[in-house]
Amino acid sequence: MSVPNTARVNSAMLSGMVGQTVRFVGKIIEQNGTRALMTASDKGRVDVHMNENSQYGTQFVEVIGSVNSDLSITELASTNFGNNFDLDTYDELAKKMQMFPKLF
Amino acid sequence: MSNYNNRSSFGNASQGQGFVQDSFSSDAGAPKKITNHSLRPVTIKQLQNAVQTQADGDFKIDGQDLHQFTFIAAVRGVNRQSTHHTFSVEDGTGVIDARRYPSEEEDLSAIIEGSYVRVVGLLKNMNDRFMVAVHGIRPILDMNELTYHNLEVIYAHVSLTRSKHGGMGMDTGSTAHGAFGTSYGGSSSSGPGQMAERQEQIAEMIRNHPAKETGVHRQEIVARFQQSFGGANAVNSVISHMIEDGFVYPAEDEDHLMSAY
Repeated sequence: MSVPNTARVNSAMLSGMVGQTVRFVGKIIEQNGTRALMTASDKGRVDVHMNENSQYGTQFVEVIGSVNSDLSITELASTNFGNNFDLDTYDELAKKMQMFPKLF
Repeated sequence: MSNYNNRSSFGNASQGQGFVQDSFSSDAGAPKKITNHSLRPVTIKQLQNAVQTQADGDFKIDGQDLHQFTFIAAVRGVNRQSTHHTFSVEDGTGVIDARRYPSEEEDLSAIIEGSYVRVVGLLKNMNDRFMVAVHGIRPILDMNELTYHNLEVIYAHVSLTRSKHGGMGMDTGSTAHGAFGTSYGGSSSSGPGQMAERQEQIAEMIRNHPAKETGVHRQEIVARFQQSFGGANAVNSVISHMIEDGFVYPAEDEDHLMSAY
């Protein structure tokens, strides 16, 4: 899989990223078939269309996917982020990263 | 951040040697040496944009020599050979190959596609392609490490790029504000430019004062600037702002001031 350049986003940043591939970390609220509803790091809710091969094994999951016009995300790949992940600090990071285009 | 301890868990010889070297050389020209031999947190984008000063020479990031560095990335490709393993890794900012020649007892079977790993290594230029000579690689077990690594990347970049006293170190525009860019809104009759200029004058005086190691007395600062600033109150107001913003701090008592830079 080749997705070298993806910005880390929260739910508020999705509207500026329609059509692009992003990296999103959220907490699963509910999962129904290949649809997952997740809480973003800024507390917004995000709909994820899961890759049919994906298994979300933990409460927190990182999804790499493309942003649809309805601001849902279609997953390309995902990584389990465990059951103990600090979304608040992560949200601060995601916002800070936008200020440093030389680094990220 | 107890996870810092995990860095020592690589337990391989090359890293250990680095630490020994540091302790020997720390007495002369210490600040520069420490910077050079520290483990710099980076992103792959920084590595790919590193500047090579000579054909076979050192690399620089932010104008600083790059030695051993560390980053966190996801493994996207694995090529296992008898003598070495090459991992294609990406962290959302770029992709790079990382090569490990494992020692005999080292088990790299936990480094699999899709897993996040912590890498420690050196940058190499192989036929005009950058790659990482890996000194240590291990899977990330607590993903909070990813958050704090990237915060450390920002911290290191800001620390190394902001001017000696001032500038916020952000990539965009901030340096134009001058040394005391955050201290706007002093006295209402003076613009932000004047406030910054006055702060710079006071900072300059403290830095060059013979008593800079123990603190310069407030009265002395007031006496020096009250005429040009328009009264003792104006000087004290500037000093208050500088204390608030951390550019100046009280030394042995409230009236002895030292420069933070």
